[in-house]
Amino acid sequence: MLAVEHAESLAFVQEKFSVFYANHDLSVPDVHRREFGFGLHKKIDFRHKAFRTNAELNAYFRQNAPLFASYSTALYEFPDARPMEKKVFMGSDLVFDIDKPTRDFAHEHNEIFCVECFGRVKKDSMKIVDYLQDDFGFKGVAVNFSGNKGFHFHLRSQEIRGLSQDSRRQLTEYLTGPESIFIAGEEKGRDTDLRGPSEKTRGWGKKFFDYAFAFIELASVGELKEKGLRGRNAEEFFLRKKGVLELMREGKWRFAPKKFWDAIYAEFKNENGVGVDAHVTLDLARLIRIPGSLHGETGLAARVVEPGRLPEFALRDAVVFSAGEKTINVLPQIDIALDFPERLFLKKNEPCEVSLASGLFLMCKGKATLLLREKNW
Amino acid sequence: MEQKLIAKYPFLSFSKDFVGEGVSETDLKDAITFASECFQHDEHIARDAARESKNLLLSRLMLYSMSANFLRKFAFFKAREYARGLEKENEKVLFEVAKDFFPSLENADGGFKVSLIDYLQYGRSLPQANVSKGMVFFIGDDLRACLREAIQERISDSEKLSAKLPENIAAAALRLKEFIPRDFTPQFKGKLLQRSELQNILKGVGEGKRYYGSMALAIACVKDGLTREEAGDVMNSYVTNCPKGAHPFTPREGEAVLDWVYAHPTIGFSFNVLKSQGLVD
Repeated sequence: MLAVEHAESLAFVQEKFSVFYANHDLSVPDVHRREFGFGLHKKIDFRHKAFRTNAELNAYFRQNAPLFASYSTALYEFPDARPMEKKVFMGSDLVFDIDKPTRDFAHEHNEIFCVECFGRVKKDSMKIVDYLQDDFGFKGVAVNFSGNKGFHFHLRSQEIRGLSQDSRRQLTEYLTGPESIFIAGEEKGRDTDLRGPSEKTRGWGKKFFDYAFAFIELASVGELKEKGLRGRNAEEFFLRKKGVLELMREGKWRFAPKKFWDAIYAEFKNENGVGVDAHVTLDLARLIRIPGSLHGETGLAARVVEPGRLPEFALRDAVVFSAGEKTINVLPQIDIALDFPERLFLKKNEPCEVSLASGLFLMCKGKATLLLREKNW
Repeated sequence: MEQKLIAKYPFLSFSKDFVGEGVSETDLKDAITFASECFQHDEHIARDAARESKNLLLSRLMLYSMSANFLRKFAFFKAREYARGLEKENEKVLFEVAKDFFPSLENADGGFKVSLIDYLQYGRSLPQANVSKGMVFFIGDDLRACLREAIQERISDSEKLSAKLPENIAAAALRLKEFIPRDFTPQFKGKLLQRSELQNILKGVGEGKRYYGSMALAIACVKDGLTREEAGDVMNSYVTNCPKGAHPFTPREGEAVLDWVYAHPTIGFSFNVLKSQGLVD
């Protein structure tokens, strides 16, 4: 599918991208080892390009102003060689990509651009940073806004570049969380020796232990019943809470049926697991958006974000064109209701004035065409 | 100590120093015996470091030249044999062998810890692991289980093996072929595993269904009363038989499924579930 079909709109978008690239330098780590792919009409119209330096790369951007620009997560001895086998693979960055919320949630979804979904994705992204830094101990996590719906996380150390596909899959599965966390020694349906995480456990087990421990410590009889303990069981459990907590510390969870704990675990996993696009992580020859470049489906910049500043990142930080004054005229192709880049309600085929940022956003999304360029031109 | 250790565990990386140069007819005869003993499940009496190192290397070369599948089977059986040996070893030997696979291995909190990067190469299922600040912590039993899979992976690693062999080794490979069983499918007399539906799954299923297939087999194993080790044999056959697809279904994935099912032995088995998963008609 073409992102910007309308010829005049396309020329306008490209002209604006060109102005941006004339004033902004991109910097790609190990630029001479990467394959590049570019697109004007779709994400990748052609690939197998290579550049010796960032200066060469920037000159290319200034001359061609591509709407889409990607580089390989892989490093090659001969990045422009083809077919792929002739490139000589030298390792691949580890990349995680999240572009939709891990879980469905009730909201009024905006098909053009959903700010609420983006908010959820950002929250999930903060969890990913925690997993990468706190659990995996990865240093040098580089985060960038994808330029559209989510975030990319790049790890580029030498030891990480040697990880196999299987190892990468293990990492994505860790982010989702284990299916179950208990080991049951059941007999005739009775949980005789249910074992689970203890105070000394680490990883997901420890996170769950802390969560369950805090829940039990504070739970009322009513709350225990809500989680599935029935009648007197809940009351007995409540009365023996102190002992239960002591046993939990040792990894013994037998004082309630497994399905009670499973319910608490399912709730915990639902809150803490994160789903990334595993294809991106597993594909060792993936082309991924160049951090800092513009996204041809939004006109937004794929901004680099300090991992610690992720909570403060707002979509407006990625807007690089004027978002204030209404300077251009566009013709909506459909009825449009938007919260971002600005609040807009537009009727199909009714010309309207919008800001440059919104106009580019709508043209890039293929939802409006250019009628009249900036007033001052 | 080093020589003794290599004689018992010739898969260790410093076994290279003991292989020596040239391949005599005696070397080839010994290697054929070494590999065929493994396939016949005959007990192998380890000799010296040089002999064992050469036997293992020549066996791998000959088997890989015939079929990667033969090499994978050999690796599975041999790793099991070495893992049994390791069970009898004291912690010092275990540590020394494990260090060869996990260079970052250290004692910690009454158990062990390794770096996440090391663990990812040879460890077991990461989501279940005790991960913190880039280190993975485990106890001795977990380390032994990791080692069995690590040894299997190292023996079956064909990256540096050539399928084209010098004439004398190629001829020996043909002699070895006579000792290799035609069918590796483990035969267990369980109610479920004998069913044609399960036998078909055991022959391998396509991408998208491989996980479900492994679950079905694992549950059948537990219901049929197979030991965890016997179940490992069944799973290994299944993993080997599954097509690679865009990315392979790995022995580690199969083992993780077995671990889970054997930790939850009361899990139910249903042919209707197999139907809904598209595993049977």
